[in-house]
Amino acid sequence: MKRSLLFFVFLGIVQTACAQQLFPLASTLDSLRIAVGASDHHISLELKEPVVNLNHRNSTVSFTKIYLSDADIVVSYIPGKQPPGFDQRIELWLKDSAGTIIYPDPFSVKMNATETGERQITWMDATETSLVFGYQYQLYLKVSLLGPVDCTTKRPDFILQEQLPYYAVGIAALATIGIGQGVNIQKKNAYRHYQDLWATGNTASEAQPDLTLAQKKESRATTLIYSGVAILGIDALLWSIRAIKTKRQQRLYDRFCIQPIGIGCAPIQKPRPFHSIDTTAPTFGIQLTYRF
Amino acid sequence: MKYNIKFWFYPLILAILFGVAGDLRSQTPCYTTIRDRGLQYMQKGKYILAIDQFWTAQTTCDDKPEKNDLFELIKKAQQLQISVLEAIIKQEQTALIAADSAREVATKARQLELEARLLADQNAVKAREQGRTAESLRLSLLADMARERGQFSEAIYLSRLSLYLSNGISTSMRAYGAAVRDSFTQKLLVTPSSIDWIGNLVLSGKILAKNTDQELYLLDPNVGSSTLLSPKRNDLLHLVTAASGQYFLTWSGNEPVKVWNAAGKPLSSLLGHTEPVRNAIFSSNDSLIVTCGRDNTVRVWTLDGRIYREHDKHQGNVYDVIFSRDDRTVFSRSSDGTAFVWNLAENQVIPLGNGHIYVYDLAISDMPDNLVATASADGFIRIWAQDGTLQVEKKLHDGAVLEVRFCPGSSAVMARTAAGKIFILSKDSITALSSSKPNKGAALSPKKDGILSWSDDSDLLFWDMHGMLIRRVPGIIGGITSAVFSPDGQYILITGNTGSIRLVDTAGNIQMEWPADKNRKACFLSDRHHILVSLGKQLTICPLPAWLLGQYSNLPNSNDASFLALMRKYNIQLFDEPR
Repeated sequence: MKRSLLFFVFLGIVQTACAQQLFPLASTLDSLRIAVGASDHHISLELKEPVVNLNHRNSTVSFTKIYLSDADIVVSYIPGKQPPGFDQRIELWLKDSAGTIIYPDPFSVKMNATETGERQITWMDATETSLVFGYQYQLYLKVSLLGPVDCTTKRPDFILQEQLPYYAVGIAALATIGIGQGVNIQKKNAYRHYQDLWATGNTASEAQPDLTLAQKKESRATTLIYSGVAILGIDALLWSIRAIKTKRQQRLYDRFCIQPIGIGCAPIQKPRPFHSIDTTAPTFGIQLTYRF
Repeated sequence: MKYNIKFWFYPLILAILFGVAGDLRSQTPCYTTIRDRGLQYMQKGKYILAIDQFWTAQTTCDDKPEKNDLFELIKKAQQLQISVLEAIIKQEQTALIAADSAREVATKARQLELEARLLADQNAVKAREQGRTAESLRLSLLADMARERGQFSEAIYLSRLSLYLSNGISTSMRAYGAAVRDSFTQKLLVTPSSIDWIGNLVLSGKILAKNTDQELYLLDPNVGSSTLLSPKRNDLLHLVTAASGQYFLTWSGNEPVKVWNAAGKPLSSLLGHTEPVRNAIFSSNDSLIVTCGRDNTVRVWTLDGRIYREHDKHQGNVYDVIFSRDDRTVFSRSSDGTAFVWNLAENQVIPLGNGHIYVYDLAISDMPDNLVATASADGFIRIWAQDGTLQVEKKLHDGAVLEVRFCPGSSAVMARTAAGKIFILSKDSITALSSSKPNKGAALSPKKDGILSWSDDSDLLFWDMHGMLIRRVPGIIGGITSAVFSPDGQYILITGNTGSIRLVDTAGNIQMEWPADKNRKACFLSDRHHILVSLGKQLTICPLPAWLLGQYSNLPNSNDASFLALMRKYNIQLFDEPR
């Protein structure tokens, strides 16, 4: 019982240490001109460009179909391969002819996989909330690669100040082992004295206190040494996990976050909260970046 | 017979005198004397007497010569007399003219005096008014400063006085509104995330509020209590309240619609839809509920959750359902471009025409005729009778029609097209509101006196029902997201893109405003005297300034020590009328 409890505590610590938050590392943005028309007296989506135009050369995702299913915009795609621990995120939005950006309402986008291995992203009730018959729109699809490193912060590092607590704990653990060794020596002395008393013909009652003392010291020494070793082991394990994680993050950071010098721009957007009674307008624009 | 000597004496004397007189008469030169006398009169200018003498001489004097000049003298005297009279007339005429002109001058002078007095009075009034206005503006500024210092009661006093002096200057009302906002706003609720929906339960006076965590709270503003009705969820929580405010409905994602009473007790769950519900509505007497959803069905339920009727004639998601005024018919529209009328008693479903391509909106008339209007992608507005027969069909020639509403108390409809034009349609005519920019929205006044429209401009436009622009209503810089009339049609609550909220009356005077802030929502409370405003995670209640003004219409008593102290402190002049 005690052992299994200890195992779960250990597992929890390791899991916490290894837990990873995903951050956007790279993204591709492509768009397609669409129009809302009618076919057989029903509302339909007319693609003004082929869907392959959406497949960015840097993107691993391959879009296959865009159509209107009932009132929903459905985008089918084949997901690309990605490194373990990474994920992909696809966002979509519209821009009307006046330049107004139209984002899906919260909870109105769902993802699902088909039996053929294709995946679908569905903008539910789009004809009710966003698309108007007879109008043209630009449909934007942004594919983001999510990874366990945050490019908006500085390069990850396991600096000395961060290592100090581990060292402090390690020193404390070594000290505990040392004290345990000291107590062990005391135990040995007490036991030797007990043996000497036996050898010199003293009575059992005269020798008993030394035996009791030796037993006490032995118990204490065992506790201290094992505790020290356990703390040292966990400390070393956590330090190693942290160091390996940092190393990996550094590699990822160097791969995805350090880019050549240059000026670039990327659209930024902030979704609009649901329902028209709100007063918060969606925020969007262009973010100019200077890399050095 | 005895006769006295005196009896004979007097007749004798008289006889002698007559004799002597007759003798004398015969002896004196009559003509010459009388003529001379006449000439003397002429010289003296007494022409009438002279004529008289000459005439006497002519008629009575026996000694007049045969050829005499009496007639000539008479004629001359007459001419002279005439000239005298003419001169007199002339003089009188001159005098009259002089008198007239004098009278005129006097009248003019009196008029000028009156005008001067009037002008002086007017100037005095104007000066008093200007003084009042200036004092009012000063007081409104002082009120704002006091409010910013946190001295709210002083701010209320000062802005109230400013309003008293202002005769409705909007600056004073704004200062008063700001003071009311900061003094009387009460916090009703704080939730863990931003509030994104506020609603009223009319009869019970309770309030429903939902936050972005999709938690639902029921509040009783009278007691100050709040109850969490629905916990945090990962799907959008939809809410619909009954017009009576006795019940409300909630649903979320694939969860069934739940019926609640105003006390916050769940009454039933409407189990049956296989896909998410997209709309639900109560009948006018709250006895039935109609729901529709992405499973292409329309279902009518009783309050206890039993299904009463259902139909699946639509081939696409059903987005809108609406009861007729008599609750006998249900109208529905779907993404497959169809609209149906459903006679509940006979369970008969009839299509409202065909070939709409897409029906964007449905609206029901508040008149007894139970007409329903459809707004279609093909640019047509069609009005249908309850039995599904087409009554009116008009094309707006402006692309898809997104919104249609019946004008209150009328069979005319207001329609908004995708191009942003607003039309008023009656059986015989179509009138377009002549706004220069595409309209983003419109609202019909409950007072039946006009339509409010807004575009990208910061101002709103108020039109009469004939499409004539009545006035501009100050909106919000940065664009307007919505504008709502109060239930009595007296006020308009405007929300802006920046998160500002402004309360204006229909004359365009700003009553209250809340500065720009994200996640701000507002709505009128059903008691018609308060506004609910949320700021992020907080929900607050605030009285309408005009209502509060009506509650405390009199100025503080002049014997009130604190009032007098305030008057002295700020050297306030009330500019009352002189007695």
